[in-house]
Amino acid sequence: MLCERCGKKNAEVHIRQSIQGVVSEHHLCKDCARELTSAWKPGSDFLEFSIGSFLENLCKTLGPETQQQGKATSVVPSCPRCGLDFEIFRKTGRFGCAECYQAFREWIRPLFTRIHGSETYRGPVPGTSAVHGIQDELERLKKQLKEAVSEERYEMAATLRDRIRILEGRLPDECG
Amino acid sequence: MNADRILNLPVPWVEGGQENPADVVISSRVRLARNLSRYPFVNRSTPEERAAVLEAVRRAIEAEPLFRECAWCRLSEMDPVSKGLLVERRLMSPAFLQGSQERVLILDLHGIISVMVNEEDHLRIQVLLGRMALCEALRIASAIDRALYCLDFAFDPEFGFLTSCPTNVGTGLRASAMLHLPALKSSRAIPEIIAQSGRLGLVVRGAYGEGTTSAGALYQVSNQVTLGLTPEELTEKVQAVSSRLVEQEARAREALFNGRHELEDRIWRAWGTLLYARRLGLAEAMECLSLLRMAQEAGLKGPFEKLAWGPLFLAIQPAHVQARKGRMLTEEEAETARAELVREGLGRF
Repeated sequence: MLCERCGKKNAEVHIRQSIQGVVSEHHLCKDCARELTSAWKPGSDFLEFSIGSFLENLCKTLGPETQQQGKATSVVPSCPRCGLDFEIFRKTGRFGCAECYQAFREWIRPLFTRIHGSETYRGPVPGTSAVHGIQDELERLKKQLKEAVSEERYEMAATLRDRIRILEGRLPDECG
Repeated sequence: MNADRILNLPVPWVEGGQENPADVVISSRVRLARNLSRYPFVNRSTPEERAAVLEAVRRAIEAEPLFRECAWCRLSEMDPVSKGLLVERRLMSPAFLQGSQERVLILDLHGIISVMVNEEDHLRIQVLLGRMALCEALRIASAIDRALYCLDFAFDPEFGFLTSCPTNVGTGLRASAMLHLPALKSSRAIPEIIAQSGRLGLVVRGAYGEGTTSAGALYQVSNQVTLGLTPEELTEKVQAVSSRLVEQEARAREALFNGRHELEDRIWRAWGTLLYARRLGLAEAMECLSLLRMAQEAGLKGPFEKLAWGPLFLAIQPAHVQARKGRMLTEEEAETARAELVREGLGRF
């Protein structure tokens, strides 16, 4: 597991914190743990470290990446269905509805990689509506691939091709 | 559902088998987090939307033979002791206690399946079995999951099952095993084990009390990662690490039993404490039971050979003590009541 603060090194320090009965767990690399511990002053709350703040730290790094991909970073996305603002998601670390995943898709992939070491699901697929979902997603990705190739964004094209391969592989195996 | 009725429900995970009453792996639990795609997640929903979720779930569950023998526990209608009993029996999370009116626990009367409705996610499906039975627990949980696909779960081809918190997305699965590791605890090996399991995407933590100083030497091994691996792979990982811990515990016990007289002395003192104490704190009672369980596992001869660990372990928990006395108790009263209950329990042998 990667450190939830820097997302780069392995988490080796595991903290279980209980504040007024609310228990939270944190997994940090040695460097981040040392930094947070040295920043702690007597009388202040123990490590200032809610899941929201850890997501905020992770999400701060997302801006430049999306800029490189030509996305508008000046406009912070919000979910068209439940109205959840990406800023709020960063603070609370909670999605508001299923549609949020669609609205924040590009922003949350790196976050998932940092939390789970992967951004692609493997497992059972529920019923036919999900098969249609895969087909829709494939169409969307293929369209994006075409665009990426025509704009000579080859790194992006390679990522999209990998994603298409994974989804195509899933259709006959698990739903065929 | 009132306290008396809960006390009479079976608790398969603590009861163990007849032939071998004690085992390092105490229980196996699989939990799946699911949301209905039509409704906002619980943290952004209105009371009406949560009530609609509840109604949809009720219709699906009533049509499902797997839930033929179950009870509906509306949390807003339950007293604190009854709710405490359900938490101590690990049929619902402590977090489920605080929250909205529309929270319901669907409880299988065999004590194996429970479903929390409107917790952090719309559904938290849990299967809890005794001993190492993670694969079986996953099989049951997956069958329930499939039976409820009619609810149209929020699912994305790329990210899998969608959950309120990004740490559950994908499989929505948390597989955990509860282990009794007294020898590893006393050899101070636990912090290193915690660090190692972190590197594997797993978490080892005290099942009761804080991190490395778990009361009763009970530890929980569970997967931290939920995306990128299949439910079977995640479950196997937890099982593999648990098996390794069982081996390490066995080796640590060998070393511990080398100083046999000292350990035997501690075991007999624990027996004496349970038998004669007039006041018993929870942590002390759990420590004593832990030592006696270890003695049973090592085949040590003594009156504690036939001790039924499970029922006593439950009986000493705070809500169970209060439920048996039928009223809220001060700390001092609870300690006195706990000692009485333990003596009563042992008097049967």
